[in-house]
Amino acid sequence: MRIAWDRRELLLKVVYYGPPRAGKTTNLEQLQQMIAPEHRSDLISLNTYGDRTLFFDLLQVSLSQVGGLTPRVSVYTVPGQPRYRRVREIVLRGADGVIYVADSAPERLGENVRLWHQMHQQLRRMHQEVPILIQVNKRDLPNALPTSSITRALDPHGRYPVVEAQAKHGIGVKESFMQILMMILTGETV
Amino acid sequence: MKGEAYTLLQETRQELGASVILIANEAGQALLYEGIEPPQTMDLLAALGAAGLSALQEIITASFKGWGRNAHQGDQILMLEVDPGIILILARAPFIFLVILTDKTRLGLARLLLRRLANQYPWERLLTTAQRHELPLRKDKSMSETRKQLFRDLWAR
Repeated sequence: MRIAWDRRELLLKVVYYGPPRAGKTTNLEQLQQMIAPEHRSDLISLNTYGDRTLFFDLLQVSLSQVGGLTPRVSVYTVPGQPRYRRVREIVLRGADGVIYVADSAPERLGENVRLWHQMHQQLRRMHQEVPILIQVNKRDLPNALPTSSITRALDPHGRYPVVEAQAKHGIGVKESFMQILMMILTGETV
Repeated sequence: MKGEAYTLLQETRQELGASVILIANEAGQALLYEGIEPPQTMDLLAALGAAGLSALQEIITASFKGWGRNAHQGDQILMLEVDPGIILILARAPFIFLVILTDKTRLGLARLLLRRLANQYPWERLLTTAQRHELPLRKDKSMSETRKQLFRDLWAR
């Protein structure tokens, strides 16, 4: 979190973390559609010239002024694939808050847990203690695991707030985003 | 002094036929730019800056091993293909140099000229020290009031 005093801006970074195809980019795409154009940038996917990709998406959002400052939020996704572990760590660095997007499909439970532990390892290594919100996505799957089974596997002590979502239908997207920002800015959940 | 820096930017941009050239600090704030600013440039720059310049350099290194072979540490160039052109970024602490090219055949030249530009001027003179302060929001206000104020007008109707 930084303050650009000359522009009276509060610069925040929110990262969507989670296994591949859990819906992280879908969250950003939906957010982009939901947010009034004058408050956001285009969604930028960093595809390089040729066939190489920088492997993250980002969206910038400006909120209304609070405490004399205008919060400007850079929202990132990380790549979920195992080979991009290092890139995930780099993108995670300096995050002010993380939304962990878990997949409700039963066969993805192992991946949910693996990435969850990896995220905590990376945060510990970087000595970062940040607000984390669990978004349990794809609640519309016919064989979706109960939310409690997923959250129990990730967070047995119930330390983190949970939002259920169907990101592709825009459900839970706005709530997750607002909640993580409130956690960052006020240190509390809503 | 700033006039000299501006002239250098202008010369480089014209030599490349680029639409814009700019220099930003590691927080992604444009310090100086020359040319026509495409709408997404500043957002992209701010977003890259928010990732942190050192993170950007590491990503470049991690993702473009072949690319950086002949480059010195802290002197990496990243190419992004973003409409309406190609964005070339030279990440050299504590600055980000950025140019948008419309002519792909000038990529090689652009890489050379960006490096030359970085060496041509004491850019540190443009830099103002960023300040870090405690966040002034964690007090007094009620949650619902903060929430209402913060997200006012955010959502499309």
